[in-house]
Amino acid sequence: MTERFVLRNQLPEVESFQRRLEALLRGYAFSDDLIHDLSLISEEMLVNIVHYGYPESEAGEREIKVVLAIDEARRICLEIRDDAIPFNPLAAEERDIDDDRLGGWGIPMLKTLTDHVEYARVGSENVLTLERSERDS
Amino acid sequence: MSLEIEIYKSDDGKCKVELIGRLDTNTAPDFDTKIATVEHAEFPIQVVDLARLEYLSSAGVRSLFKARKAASDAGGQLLLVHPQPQVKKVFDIIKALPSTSVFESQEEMDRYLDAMQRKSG
Repeated sequence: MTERFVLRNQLPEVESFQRRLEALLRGYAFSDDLIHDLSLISEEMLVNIVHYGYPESEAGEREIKVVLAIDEARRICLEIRDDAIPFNPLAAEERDIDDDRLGGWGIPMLKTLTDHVEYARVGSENVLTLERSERDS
Repeated sequence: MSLEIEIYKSDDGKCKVELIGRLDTNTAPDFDTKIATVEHAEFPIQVVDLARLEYLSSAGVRSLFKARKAASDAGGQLLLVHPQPQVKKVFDIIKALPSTSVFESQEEMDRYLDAMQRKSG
């Protein structure tokens, strides 16, 4: 199963994407735990792109593309693709909590809540790919 | 999806703030506004009850942290109680808050407050 989403670079789109993602995963009977984690990572990553990726004058005018794939083994792959300024959340420094930049928690969130994560700059795009399966609780 | 904020003020200088729903990028500004209306001088101890908070993102953690700092700058305290598993997981990942400000239960928090009182009194 593969589902494609296109979001405008504005905050309400992030929230509505989260709702759709959660509903879709619930439809596939994934656990609340997994749905929570993927929704949380989506918020963290997408809000970061919306807040810092583009000039303010372009708010709502650019597209962020998300592809959700579920394979036979019920492994979930989420790809987030944007044409914002180059930003590798895996290389970002962990920041102090007083720092207003959200990306500071990208590394610990991504590391803890995914099974595998990769970043690549492809042409003019940031491509973040992450995988996650159910975990034994 | 939203956040409900219930504020209960008692006569003994304690104020309980119950969060219901989601504290995230969308709802954090509302929490910031509401918590700022609680006077530190009148309520030096602010308890944020997380029992019915289902979802917390880093934007929400930042708001809790700011409120905690505002309380301590004013000589008071902001304590968090009853984090649910999903919320606790986020605190664990971010490690932003000292363990002395998050309590699993009311009893645990009361013991802490009693000990504090004895120390100062």
